[in-house]
Amino acid sequence: MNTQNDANISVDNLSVRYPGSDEYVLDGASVEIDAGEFVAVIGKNGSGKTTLCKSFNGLIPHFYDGSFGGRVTVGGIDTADATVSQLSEHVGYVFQEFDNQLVSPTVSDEVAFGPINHGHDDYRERAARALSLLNLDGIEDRFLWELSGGQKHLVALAAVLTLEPAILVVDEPAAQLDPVHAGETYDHLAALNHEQGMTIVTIEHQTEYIAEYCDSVVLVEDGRVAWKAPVEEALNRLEALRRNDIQPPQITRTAAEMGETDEQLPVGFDEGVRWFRNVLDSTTPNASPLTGADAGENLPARNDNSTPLIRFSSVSHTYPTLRGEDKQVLDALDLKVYSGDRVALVGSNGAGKSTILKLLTGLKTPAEGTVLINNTATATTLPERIADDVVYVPQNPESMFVKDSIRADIAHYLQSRDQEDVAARTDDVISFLDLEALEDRDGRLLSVGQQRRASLAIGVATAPSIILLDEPTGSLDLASRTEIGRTLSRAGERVEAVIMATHDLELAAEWANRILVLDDGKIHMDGPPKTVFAATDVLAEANLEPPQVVRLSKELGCTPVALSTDELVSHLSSERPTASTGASHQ
Amino acid sequence: MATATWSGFRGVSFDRQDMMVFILIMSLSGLQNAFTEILPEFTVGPLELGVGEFLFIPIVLVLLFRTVWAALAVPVGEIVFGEILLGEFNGLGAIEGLLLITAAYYFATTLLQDPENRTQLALVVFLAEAIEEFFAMFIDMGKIWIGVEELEAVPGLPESIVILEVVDFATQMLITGIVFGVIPALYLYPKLHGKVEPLLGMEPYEGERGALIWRGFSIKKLALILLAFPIAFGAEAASETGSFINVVFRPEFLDLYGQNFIAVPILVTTIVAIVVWYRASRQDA
Amino acid sequence: MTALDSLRDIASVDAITTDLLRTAYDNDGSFLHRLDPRVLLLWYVVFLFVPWMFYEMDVLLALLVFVSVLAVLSRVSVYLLAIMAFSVVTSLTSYAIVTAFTGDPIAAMKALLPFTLKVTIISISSLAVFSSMSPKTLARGLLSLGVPRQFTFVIAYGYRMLPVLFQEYHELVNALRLRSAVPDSPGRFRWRYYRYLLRLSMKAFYPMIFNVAKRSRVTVEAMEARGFSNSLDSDASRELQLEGMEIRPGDGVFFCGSLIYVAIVASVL
Repeated sequence: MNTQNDANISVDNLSVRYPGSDEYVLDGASVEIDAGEFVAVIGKNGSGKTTLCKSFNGLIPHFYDGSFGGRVTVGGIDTADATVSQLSEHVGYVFQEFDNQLVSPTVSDEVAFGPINHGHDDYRERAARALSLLNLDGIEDRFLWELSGGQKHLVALAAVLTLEPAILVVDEPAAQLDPVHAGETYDHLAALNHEQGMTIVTIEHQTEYIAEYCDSVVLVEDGRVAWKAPVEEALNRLEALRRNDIQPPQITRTAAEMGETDEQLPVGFDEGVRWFRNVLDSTTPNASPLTGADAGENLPARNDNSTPLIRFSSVSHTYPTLRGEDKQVLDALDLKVYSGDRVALVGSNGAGKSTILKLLTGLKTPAEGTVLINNTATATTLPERIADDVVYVPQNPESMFVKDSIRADIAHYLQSRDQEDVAARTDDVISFLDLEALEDRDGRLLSVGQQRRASLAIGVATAPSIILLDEPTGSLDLASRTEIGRTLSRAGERVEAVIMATHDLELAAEWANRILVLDDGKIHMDGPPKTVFAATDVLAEANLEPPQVVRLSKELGCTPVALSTDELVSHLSSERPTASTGASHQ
Repeated sequence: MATATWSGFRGVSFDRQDMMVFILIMSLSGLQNAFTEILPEFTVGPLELGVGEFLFIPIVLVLLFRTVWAALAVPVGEIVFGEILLGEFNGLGAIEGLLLITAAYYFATTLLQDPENRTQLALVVFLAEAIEEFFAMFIDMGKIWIGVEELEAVPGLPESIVILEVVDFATQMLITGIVFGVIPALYLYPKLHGKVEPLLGMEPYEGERGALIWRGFSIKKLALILLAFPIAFGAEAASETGSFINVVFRPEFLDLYGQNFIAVPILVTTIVAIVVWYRASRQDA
Repeated sequence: MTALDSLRDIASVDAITTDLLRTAYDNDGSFLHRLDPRVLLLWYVVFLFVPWMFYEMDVLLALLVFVSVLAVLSRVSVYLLAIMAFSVVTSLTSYAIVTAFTGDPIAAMKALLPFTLKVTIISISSLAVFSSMSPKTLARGLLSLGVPRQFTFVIAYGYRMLPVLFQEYHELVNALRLRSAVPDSPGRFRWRYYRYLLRLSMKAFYPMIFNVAKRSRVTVEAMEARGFSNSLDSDASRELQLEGMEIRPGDGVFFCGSLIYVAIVASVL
């Protein structure tokens, strides 16, 4: 049903300036996307990726004031001459904030919304088709707010598919979802692309997904489309990627550091394994233990008699649901956290990560069991008092911004506690964390990366001894992630322990000294990163996939596994025959 | 630039920005209404001691966006969130709210001429609540007047009704109007002004420095607004009702039972009317 | 109960929201739920006027019994009924107290009782009708009665957003709590605690306004990206939205039956 000219996009010299700003977000951007392509659009945070994609379905220029120039044609229709409503049957759009895209109470109403608006009397068939295409059968009557984030994203996708568009735009699917659901979404997109020939455009900064699923990559830089290239070629342009704060896949980075720069580097995992075997001269698969101080890694040294900072004793917790039954999130959980611990809580959504953090803030009290912080039970202490020692930085950084400037937000805690020299201490925090440029801005109007940094700063300014972080790197590009790391390391001398709930196993591997694998409200494994990441079966059971570098070192037979590209490179270089034998493979 | 204009609503345009503003104000006005419903309060007869509502939220938002639709979104939000969804709907009260709140708030926005003049802002917020409460008080009294047989004949009752209603008006003005209205609005309006509007792609209202409140005021406008709303709503309802009978009211069982079936409700209604009329006239005798 | 407990209770909006949401989202299967929304709305309009036509206590009591039965059949929340009963009683009492100073409280009660009954009948019928109609049904009913789609849409939208907004607001209040200090002493009747919580809940609206503003923008864009404005003037779309609404014999029986009951009550009593 999708003919060639129905599904191509042609952007010619597009320029866009939003009202109230002197700068053009896009300034002469041109790109051609062919029917049936699977394209990733990449670029820095705020580079105009989303603006470019919103021009495909006419939201730009029809829904924004400001100045526009150039021409966008979609399947032969000039978007300036068609309404957004007309274009909606040609281009489907799943927003980054997909939760706000859903407007109906139930799933069946939501997926029928589009076809009913367009007066298609086969809306039931369309809805059923779209739902079964995404394996969503059986949830038609559920309320949307009952669903998990991953399910909601698929419903948003299904609701767009019912209009049977030839082109589908999905904004940052991996940013808001955990890796399992992000992978699922990409699998569905790939199927739509292969089986129905749908043109698919995703905005994405996680290059591992790009390598695995996309055909070509469009880089948006300085308001223009810098280039469009096939995926292998694009991900090999390491210089350009880094310049735009995009982290190449771990496998590509490792390969690059092995020194074969003039060669085409691998971008996908399987391809990478073959490449490394080849380079390493596959005749001697290496099983010898890694040498060096890290080899016998253990949990941080601690005195058994020392009192734990935090102690969970057989804690169970349930949530009431509207359907009458209670949902168990934690099941007789025991946990001790000591001074010096940097704990990463990993596990799929609903495994209980956030609940553990919330129990530590005192905002929730355990249904059964006790939670002790410094030997004081949280159940008998007000959250405000617990906050003297514990700071919680929530997943959505915006909920940290309650004042009208970053400065006021930082000062708020000190002021409310009548502390002395509020102004001076606030100044200290601001200069210490390099926030001078942002201090007078409203937190909600910053970019995502700035928001994360500011929200961490607000937390750190409370001089906590325990820091709780909920998904601190969600939807961040490379530069912002590096900055988060820096902020954390500067968090101050009072900090004794940091607990982070995260999906980002790469971050967990590089940062934590202790990893807790949660599944179904139980701790399945607790140990130092190398031990945990080597236990691939436990991780798989908890629906987790270790970072590429861990999987690669396992494939190549390194024990213990390497946790960062540097580590793997230094290990492999020492194992590698000689440079000349390596060169003979070329 | 081409703009997609949404279908107008009886001549008054209602575009995408109006829809955004409408959804924004409706959600927040509904949320504050539903939230303050949950708070404990002491209700003694018509007297309500407690947090009636966070008036500053809806009034500040309406003053920022300044359209009839913005004002209408306030009662709609309260009805949808606070009443329909929570099952506390009251038909007459809802219609009263739709008319009074919309009219009072919209009138108030036309009075705000200089958004940086704090006295003016305070006065406008106070007036919005005062107009609404004042008319609500009369409607309350009117209801009792109609509903109580021979009210004047009962010694002391009319006086006590007036006393209670006036005391209620005064406490409402003090609690809702000032404590949860004027004071927080003075703090909130300047913080939002110029920051929220651009999020919806709109220019903030500049007004005119030093412009007086009276510039926006005229008795004629007040009278027109207060009269125009009921008439507009009445007319709207009548015309739309006329069309729905033609278009959609086609009971399927008519095919089954034949056109004669339509006579049954008409007949029943007639009989009921006769009986009621008979009773009423017998009473007079 | 200690001050601490009460502070926790007030702050734990969880329980209250769950309770309210049950009221809002659990209205399937009740008696009135099966009726056509237009008939139900028409019935409601009629019953807004009927009580005002009578002054006799027995007729009013009979009407009260009738609407109460309907309320029970449509499973109106007992909590809401209790609130209503309480406000009726206190209202009467306050008039009695004030009239004790200005005149004859007994006569005033006698005069006010029928009025109070009328108001109660209307309130109960409101509860019965609107707690048994799902917002979707109500929206369809209003749409077919000519209310513009933009406004019937927001009913369904509100239904979708209510729990989300509650949740988000709750999180903001919590974020504020974690960065504020509780008053050192609760004060008489713990008023300092209450004042503290009230202030927090007002302050939490500031960030909330920005969040909702951003959301509104995305929502309207997303609605249009699925053809919302097309539905405003398209007859085909309107027909689909109203599809399946039909007036069945049951609706007629209910409507006529109610009127006949009124007629019988009026003539017999």
